[in-house]
Amino acid sequence: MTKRYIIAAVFLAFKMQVFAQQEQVDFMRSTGKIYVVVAVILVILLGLFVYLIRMDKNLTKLENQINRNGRAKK
Amino acid sequence: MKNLKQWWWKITGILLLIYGFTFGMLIPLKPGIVTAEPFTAVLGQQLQLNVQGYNTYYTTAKDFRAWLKLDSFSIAASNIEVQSDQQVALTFNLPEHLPSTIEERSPNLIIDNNVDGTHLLPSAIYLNDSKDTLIAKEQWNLNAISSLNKKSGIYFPYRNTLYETIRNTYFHVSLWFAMMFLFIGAFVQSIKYLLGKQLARDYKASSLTSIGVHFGILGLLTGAVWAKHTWGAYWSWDIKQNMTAISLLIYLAYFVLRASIPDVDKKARLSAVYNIFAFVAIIPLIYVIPRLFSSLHPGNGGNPAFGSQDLDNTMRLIFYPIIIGWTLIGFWIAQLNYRIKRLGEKLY
Amino acid sequence: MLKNIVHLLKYEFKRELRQAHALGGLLLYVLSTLFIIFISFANVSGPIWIILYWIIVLFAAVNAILRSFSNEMGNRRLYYFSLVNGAELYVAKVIYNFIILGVLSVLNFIAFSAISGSPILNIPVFLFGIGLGSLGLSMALTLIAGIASQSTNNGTMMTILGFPVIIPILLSLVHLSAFTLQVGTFSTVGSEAYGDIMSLIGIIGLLFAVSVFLFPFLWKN
Repeated sequence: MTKRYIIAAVFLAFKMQVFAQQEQVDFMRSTGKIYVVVAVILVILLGLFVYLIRMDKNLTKLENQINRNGRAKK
Repeated sequence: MKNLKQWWWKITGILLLIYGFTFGMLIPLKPGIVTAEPFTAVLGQQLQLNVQGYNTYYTTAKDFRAWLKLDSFSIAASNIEVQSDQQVALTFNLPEHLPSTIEERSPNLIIDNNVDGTHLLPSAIYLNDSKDTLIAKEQWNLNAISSLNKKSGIYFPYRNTLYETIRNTYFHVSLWFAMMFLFIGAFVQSIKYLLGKQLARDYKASSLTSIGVHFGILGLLTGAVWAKHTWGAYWSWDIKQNMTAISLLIYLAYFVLRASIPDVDKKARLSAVYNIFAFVAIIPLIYVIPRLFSSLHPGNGGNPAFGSQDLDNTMRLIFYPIIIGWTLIGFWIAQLNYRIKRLGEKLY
Repeated sequence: MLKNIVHLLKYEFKRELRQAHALGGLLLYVLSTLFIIFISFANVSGPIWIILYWIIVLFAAVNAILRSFSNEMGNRRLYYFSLVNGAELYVAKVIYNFIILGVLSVLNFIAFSAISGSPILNIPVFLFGIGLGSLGLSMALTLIAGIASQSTNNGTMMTILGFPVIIPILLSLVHLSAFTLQVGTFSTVGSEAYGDIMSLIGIIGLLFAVSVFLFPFLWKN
């Protein structure tokens, strides 16, 4: 009995997901596709953040090296 | 004063991007027609055309007129019933025949009023012949459309299927231009390295290439998002998509080469040689090969980016500043990278 | 200048004849690839024939050109450089590779036609394409091989650096060869394929100019 409920629940969840996906396509195409522009700007922003994180990592590595060298000199 | 010299171009970059993003998003599209239904009509019958407008203000408009236009012939709508700001029903009494000299069967729909100005839907409907064709009567009017209104103010052009995504011109295409400028910078630095053998030049070249490749990848990703919602697929094996992907591969190989050589001077020398070679090799990829194949991109068979109709004067006012803005920001990021490398060099 | 180039060419050929087994290996590679294609396809349509043909030539070219450098590691390279300048060495290498590649592609064409039949109806234009192709490939790959031979694990570097660079040449070649599937004289096809031929010549000229400038820098330390 419980098994059947689980199957039904999974099936329902799957259907809802499909429904949500369809709705999202419509959403992207609504109001003159303005959300495509929003998505593009988000991609650019995320891309710049990724680059920022990479640079931050490089700088951290450098800082660690400087700290280590400083201690060695003392 | 010394600060000003360091900062002016960075601040210019920021201001240009703020300007471009703000006005690129804020300026509305011109009024346009999304659809007109039905899609076919029979000659000689009365046609009721339900029109869906975009960014239009039909309820406040006065002096409302509409035509179906074939070449220089037209017929005016006999009845106009405005239903809402974006919806209007037009009634046309279609003539029994096409104008005698015209073969074309898809007239343009033109709507004109004092608020929205003139806007049109190209090839709005397809005209079928009625079964019982009668004697040809010239009911089409020659050159009858006159005293059209013009919408005043600043607007971006309206294009069907593109709609608001025409703004992506500023955000997607500008990245490619900025990438090219960064690669040119790297090319120049590489030549300078080979001539002078200063390691600083090598650091500059690799920093510029790094952010250039990053802009390229962003251009590819934003292009994919845009393509999904206008062409229907993230990647449609369009010749320009392929060629830009290949030119990014060439520059990614540059970093593989750098990673594979341990000796600093040898690395600098070989990667400078490869960078110059790569830059020359991508010129045909971007400017020559796309002309040999057909493409979904605009400006096909000529200018690599645009045809002259794809960019009107209002768009230029946003597009060029945003290119300069991205380029300056790119050089700034490259400079930061370069300074990190210089610091690392001083450690040893 | 010319004397030096001729001298270098003579040297290269002498060395090649001394190790004839290496050239034989390349031929064997081409033949075995053709054999595999024949077994797996049996019947190849025109456009696919052309693409397969150029891919075989491409791999043969990568192998052949990388080999012409791998023999000269170490002190001998420095000795060369003291004798001639880099541009002359580059021109000699390109001519040498061009001859080897041209012979290889013609042999490949003959063998391919003998095994699976040739869809090429306009042979003069195709041969012209082979000429342009081997010239372009040897120009682009000679410089790349010069870079790759100085890095660690040069076989992999050669493919990584080389393939994206020669894609424009390869695309134009395939595009040009597609015209040779129809019957025609040189002039009729020439007007149709004008864009391809001009773009190929343009690319070759560009690559040659930049390589002559860059090659000397590869040898200086």
